[in-house]
Amino acid sequence: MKIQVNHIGKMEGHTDFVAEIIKGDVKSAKIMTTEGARLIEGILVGRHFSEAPIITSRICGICPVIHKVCSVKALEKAMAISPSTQTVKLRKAMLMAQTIHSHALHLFFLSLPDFFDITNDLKFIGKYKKETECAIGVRQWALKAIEVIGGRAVHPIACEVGGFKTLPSRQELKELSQGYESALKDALCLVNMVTKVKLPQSKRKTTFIALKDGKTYPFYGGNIGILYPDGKSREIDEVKFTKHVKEIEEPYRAAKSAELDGEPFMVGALARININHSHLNPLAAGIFKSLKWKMPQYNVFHNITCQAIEVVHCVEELKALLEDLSVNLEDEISKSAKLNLIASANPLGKESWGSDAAEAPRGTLYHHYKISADGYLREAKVITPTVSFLKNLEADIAAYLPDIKNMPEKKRSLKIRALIRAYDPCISCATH
Amino acid sequence: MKYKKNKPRIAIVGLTSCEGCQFVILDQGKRFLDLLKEVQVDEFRLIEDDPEPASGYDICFIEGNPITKANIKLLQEMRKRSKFLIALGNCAALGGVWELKNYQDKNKTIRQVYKKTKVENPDIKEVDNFVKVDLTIPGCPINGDEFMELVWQLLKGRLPQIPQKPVCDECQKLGYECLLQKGEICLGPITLGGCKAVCLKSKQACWGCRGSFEGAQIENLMKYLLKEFPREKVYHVMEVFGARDSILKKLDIDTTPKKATKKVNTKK
Repeated sequence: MKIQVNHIGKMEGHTDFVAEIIKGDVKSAKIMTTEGARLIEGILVGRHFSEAPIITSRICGICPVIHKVCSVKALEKAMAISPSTQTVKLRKAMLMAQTIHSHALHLFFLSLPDFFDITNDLKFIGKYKKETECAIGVRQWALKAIEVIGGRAVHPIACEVGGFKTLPSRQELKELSQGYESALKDALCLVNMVTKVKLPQSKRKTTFIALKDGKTYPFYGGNIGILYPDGKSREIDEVKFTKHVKEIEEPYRAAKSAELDGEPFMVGALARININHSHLNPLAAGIFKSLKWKMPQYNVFHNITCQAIEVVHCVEELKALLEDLSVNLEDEISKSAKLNLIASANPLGKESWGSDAAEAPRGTLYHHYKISADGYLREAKVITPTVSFLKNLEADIAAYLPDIKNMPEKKRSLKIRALIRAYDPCISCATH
Repeated sequence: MKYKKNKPRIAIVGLTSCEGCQFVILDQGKRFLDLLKEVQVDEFRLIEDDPEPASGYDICFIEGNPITKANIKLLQEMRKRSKFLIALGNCAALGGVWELKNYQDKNKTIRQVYKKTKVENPDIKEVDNFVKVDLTIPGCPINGDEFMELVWQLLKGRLPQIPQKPVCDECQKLGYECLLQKGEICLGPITLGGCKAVCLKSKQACWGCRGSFEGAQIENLMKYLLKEFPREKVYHVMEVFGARDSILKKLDIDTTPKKATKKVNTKK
């Protein structure tokens, strides 16, 4: 028996799905990406390092902020440039804002309608007007924050190696922070909707990966935290990411996939909550506790519940950062300008390399660069969250198929689409 | 949501891209919802998963670049079914960031990424190499305000014209610092305005993502830039958003993509 699901909509990028079931056993379950290859890692080679954050942010239109920040951080590590505390705060604020708007878009417009059996958002929007306003409301606040700090919401501009080309004013940041109450109300409205909906079950045990620092709920940096299905956990240094996580090429798709020491693994909101739930901000922690989950949570459909909790966490975090910056922001010159780095040689005067891991909305993202003495890129490597979880997604669908294989084709197709969408895959990112 | 009859039928279609221009449209929030009241969106994969394509569209927005054969087929199909076909954003209009590959040895470029997978690896070509384009909404990404304004004009049944003025116009009016005078390579003087000089606001020089405007003094700027900066650096800046070929073809300079710039810059 062959199961084919074509042109899966309401997700970033393009993919089909094909599975084969023989005598009741799932023989294969393949995500067949149909996105064209843009060869971004290839085209970067030979380009000046200062172009890398500009070019790699074009990997993805929904999460350009994290590509830009991760790229900048990896380049800074390569050239031993340390950003100021203020720069780090501004970057963190942008990451919070991006996670809010990406999650709110995904959980409300892309995934949730599936559990109301609605495939067209226009019908969903018409039926849930108040909730639509909440999703849009919290997104607008976050988009505005990226615009104020980064200069533009999609593909922000000001963030560069060593700092920011221009800084927002204290007044702008203060006005932004005043949007908190309303954004929080909207975020809680989304939580209310997500926690009330009846989600399907999937219980396959797996390994989770997320950044971990033992003190906070990290997005910006930390060690690689790993939680194994037997309950054991470990941490590895982020520079050793590719020692354990290996990219794999599959003949049937342009997107690569990855394995952790030979096994599939999960990244993203569900992984972060499983690894770092004890460090959520107070309101988000309260929501998490009220769910009374037995941890770790293995039902991948709860990825959207975790996203809703993270929206509240990030709203709280963004408010704190904005309030701090609106009082303490000082005029400062980016180190790129100070060291005249644009179109210049590597300040170390020799070939060097650097890598960085950060949490994108969809999970741990990794950038790596080698820079020549004259400032040009010799190597570029990007491992995106969707690449990381693609094998896990295939394994989860394979485990889910026996439950749904006897359903009428249309219904079964919707179930598969719903599971794929709950993962929040970004095929554009995966096929960079 | 019930549709009123006789509303203009819209398709928003993504080829290979980051989909950022589609997100700019969604990010219009309430303004986008207002637009939805006036049109029938038959095709917009980010908000619907209905398998049945409509037979015809009044306006079709094409975002992204036709990299795969399936992309090209879809593009040609959408052209046949649409009254107006609009190139949305830099990838469709100028080839996008991925066009950098055209200035490299593309067989070498692909080996940096894939060791064994067979992946389509054509030269990157703009959408208007495949189909007739009625209007281009430029930018990487598009500007939300400009998009909304152009769409409202399109809905009145006429093809709007973007005022043919340079980025410098808005840059000066808004009082931003001139980065060309400061000593950076800036393509503002020949690049089509309408972006509110958003990059210059953040002190990022214009790299021409909106393409050149009609009547731009390309020769003058090129003469100046080539006098002040090494040719490789000038070309590098023009290559990032696919502007190099479209700008230089307007001049009497040999513009065939050569690997020269890469070779020079990878030298030790």
